[in-house]
Amino acid sequence: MDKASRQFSKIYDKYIEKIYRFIYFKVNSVEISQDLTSETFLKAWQAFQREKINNIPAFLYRTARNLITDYYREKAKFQTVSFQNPSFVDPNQSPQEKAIINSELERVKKALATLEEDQQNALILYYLEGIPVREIAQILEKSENNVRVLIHRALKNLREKLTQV
Amino acid sequence: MTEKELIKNLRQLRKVRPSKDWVITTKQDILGETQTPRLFPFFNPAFAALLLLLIFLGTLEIAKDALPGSPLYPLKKTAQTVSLFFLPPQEKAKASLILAEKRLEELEKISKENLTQNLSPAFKEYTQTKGEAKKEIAKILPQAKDPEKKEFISKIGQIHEKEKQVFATLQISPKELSETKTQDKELVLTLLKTEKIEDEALLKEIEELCQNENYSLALEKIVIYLSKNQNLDKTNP
Repeated sequence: MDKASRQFSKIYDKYIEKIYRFIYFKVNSVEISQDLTSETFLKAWQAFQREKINNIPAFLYRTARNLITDYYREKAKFQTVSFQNPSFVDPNQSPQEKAIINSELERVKKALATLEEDQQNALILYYLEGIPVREIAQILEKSENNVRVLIHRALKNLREKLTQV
Repeated sequence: MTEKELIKNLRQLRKVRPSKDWVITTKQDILGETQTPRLFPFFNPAFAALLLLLIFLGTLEIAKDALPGSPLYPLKKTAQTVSLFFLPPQEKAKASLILAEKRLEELEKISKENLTQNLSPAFKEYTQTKGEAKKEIAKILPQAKDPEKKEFISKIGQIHEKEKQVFATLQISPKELSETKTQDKELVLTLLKTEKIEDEALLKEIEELCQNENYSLALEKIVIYLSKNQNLDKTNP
């Protein structure tokens, strides 16, 4: 394995789960998430060989967002319901606990999918991935203040949606 | 659901992960090569260098007790020679004497443990090191200060005494130390020039010994005289 491959291999290992999750909460399908994630990394690898990428996470999330947009454009916002929906529960929990947690998280997941794209992105990147506001601002190409407002509004909206449900 | 609970639930969504098999095969597809599992994933150049250094230091530690004629002895000898190389002349002369004493101790150990096969190389090592030490002392003696001269002469005297005992056990005649004749001669001449010997009889005896090329005995007599009289301050007021 040459130097570039080794470097990209490390980038892949660091971001593969994050990008996969980012895509999954938008397309709600394991198969499509896998396809779009691998395409994201393939594009990143091609770019990595061609030029110097200054901000790797920003590049990966931007590529993933573009691919998601293309996907919805082509499929006319058709969402596939996957047969491989992942379980959120710990296998050691009792069946009752599993059922409660699964239903709670399913509700959150569904409510999250109904938010505007920017708000969705802000919540996923901030709360799920734990990315600092400064980096989210670079990824979403917004100011830090805008991102803070987005996170605040997104959380408020998500709570309202969950209360309505 | 409170805001805190909602944030907690959002964080729980991190449990969504791609399958491990898919992650591995996708990586292979993208990078276009099969990644063979490495036998030692932690093995990198830095680790290899550290390992080599540890092996070297470990071997050096073991070699500390090696005797002449044993496989690890050259390593011990090289380490000692290298350490002498970086010393200033004064310190080098002192260290050479200490090294000669160590070689004599090795010879003594070999004699005590009756390691006959190591005897010849040990004897050779001792005569060589002693010769080198005398050479170094002859070089620095004219410029040395009195306390240093006293120290050198006292040390040479100690080595001579010890040598006598070891050689008596091994039934070696001092004449067999012919390899150090040149160095003995050099040191005797230096001492005669730099030190004041007032004993006329001794001076005559030394002269005769030098004429007979028995420099080792001449050196011994000078050293004994100087050690007893401690008259070095007369030469260096």
